[in-house]
Amino acid sequence: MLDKRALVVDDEEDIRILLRGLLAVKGWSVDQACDGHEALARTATESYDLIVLDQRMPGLTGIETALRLREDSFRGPIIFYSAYVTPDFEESIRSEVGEENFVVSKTDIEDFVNLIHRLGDDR
Amino acid sequence: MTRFLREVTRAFRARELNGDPWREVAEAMQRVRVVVGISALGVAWLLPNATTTQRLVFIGLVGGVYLPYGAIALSIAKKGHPASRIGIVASDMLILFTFQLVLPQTRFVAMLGYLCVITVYSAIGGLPAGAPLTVASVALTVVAQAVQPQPPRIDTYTFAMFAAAAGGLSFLLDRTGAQQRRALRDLDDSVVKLEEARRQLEEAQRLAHVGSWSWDIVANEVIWSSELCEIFGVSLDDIPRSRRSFYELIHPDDRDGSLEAILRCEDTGEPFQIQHRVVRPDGEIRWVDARGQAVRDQATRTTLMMFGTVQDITERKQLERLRREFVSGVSHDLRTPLTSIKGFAALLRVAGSDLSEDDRGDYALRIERNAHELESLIAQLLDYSRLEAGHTTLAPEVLVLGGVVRSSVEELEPVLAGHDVLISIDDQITVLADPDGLKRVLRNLIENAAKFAPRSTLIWVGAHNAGEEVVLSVRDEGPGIPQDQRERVFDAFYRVSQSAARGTGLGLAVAKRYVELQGGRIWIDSEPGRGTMMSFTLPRARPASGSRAA
Repeated sequence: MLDKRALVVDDEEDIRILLRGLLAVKGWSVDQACDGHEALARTATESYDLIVLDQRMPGLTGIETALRLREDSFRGPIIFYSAYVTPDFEESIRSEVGEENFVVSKTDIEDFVNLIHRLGDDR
Repeated sequence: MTRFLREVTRAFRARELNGDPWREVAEAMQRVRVVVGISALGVAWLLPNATTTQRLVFIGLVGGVYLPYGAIALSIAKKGHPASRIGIVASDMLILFTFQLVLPQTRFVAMLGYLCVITVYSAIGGLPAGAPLTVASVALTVVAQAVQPQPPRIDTYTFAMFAAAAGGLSFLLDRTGAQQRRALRDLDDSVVKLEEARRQLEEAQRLAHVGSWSWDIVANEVIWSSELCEIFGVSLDDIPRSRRSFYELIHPDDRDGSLEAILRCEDTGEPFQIQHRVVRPDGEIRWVDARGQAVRDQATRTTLMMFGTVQDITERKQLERLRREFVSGVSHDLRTPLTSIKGFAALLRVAGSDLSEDDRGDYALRIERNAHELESLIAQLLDYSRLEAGHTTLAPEVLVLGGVVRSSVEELEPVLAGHDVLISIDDQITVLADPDGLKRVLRNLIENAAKFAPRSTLIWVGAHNAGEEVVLSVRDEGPGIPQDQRERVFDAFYRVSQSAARGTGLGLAVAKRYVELQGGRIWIDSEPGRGTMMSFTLPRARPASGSRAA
């Protein structure tokens, strides 16, 4: 099986380590970025199959980072992993970033595990 | 009585025949214009053969400025009392009204050769003493006459008639005087009470930050209370007297809404209650709760006047905003460590056996640290609510400061996130403090330093004696706190803007309360970009055998 690469973007170290752990269990190799700018710098030199973004970060927000990533022609799936998942938030992601993205609440680990499991199978 | 009148008439006629009796007085008055003397209300019969000197002495005795055909007596009247004398000179009779007690004068007048003087006294000092005094005065005159009899005497009957009349007049004066005085006193009391009530109202308005206003539309008269002027930041002379100048004081964003409510009240009489901002002439913005109602003429269905109150609710608004931010901040801050705990626990569960020993250890440590953070957040919330409710009592004891600091730092190890803590405190330094209270303050300051300063930077904790106090400081190499926010960081729920670190915004508020409860002060020295030093004082204790390191 080809090594799948994911980039986890969150300003909280614990969350990055947690997501890396969850993804690693499913066979992903994971890079980390502390904020949107670092994420953009990494995607400029590396290619990823999946990007996990926190919405609330210093500097660029998750949505702002995603829009820049799409401009930079990143075509893979993006998971928005946020503490506050509201219908408004989901709607703005669909309308601004696109239908092909995923939104997962930070309080629902199972959801995330299931989602990466599904994404892993699709690949 | 008839005989007396006949006698007087005869004497008067005889004087007329002898020339103008007033000329003598007029001549005398040219020499003495102003006389000040003792006063009495007297009806005096001047003897037909009284000399000018005698008349003048008498006039002088009763005092005042006397004119040939009348007399105006002057007196210094106390506030709330009527002027005490009026004198009328008519023919040979000098009538004087006074309200003071001058018994000795009566005898003196008799000695001067006057036939009789009956003095009418009015109430003295509010007591109805006039009638008895008049009787006493009459008696005194009779005695004086007896001792030094002066012809011609009037008969006992006439004398008694006048004495009775004088007594009656005294009685009436007593009554009216007392009534008048009572009325004046009541009026005085009412004015004092009214003034007191007004003062209390102003004080109440000042304390409650409530101003009041009224607008008489018919007379176009606007009245503002002092507190209302204070809220709007205008002086009493500058209160807005037109709609336009009033609306200019309302924040532009709130102007339309306010205008609509006030106009509706004016048009329909429907009371209004609105909250809006006021832009004071000095630029300061205040939030107010304004209420008003109209007084309507039911027949013409027009508004005659409007009145209402304006309460300054700026503080409440600020508190509301802080509380909103607090609730959203706290729920985020509680959720963040909880997310990590749940996440790592799930990770251990689903992948426990596949994980390396190192990873398992790391995840367990992270669970522990996040649980610790959650615990400290909850402790802070509880602490704050206890402090706010005044339920915190401290039991100060002598403590070796270095020991308390070291044990606090050890307990904080899991949240220090790679920061090195350098403790430089002489073991001789002892303080008088509540061990738990001191630890709370230390924890909050050290946790703050660890939270805001970049990883692996140094946190320094030091202390020195300063007179009767010990100054304890916690210094970090973090981003610093801008000058304009240094005081506010001690406010509950306040967070330094732009900071990415989380926290309830209660840590420093709690620390400040604890320090102040122990009789100390807390302050910040900070240079943006170069770190922050938080310092506080504690009462210094002399080393004692009972001290402990907590």
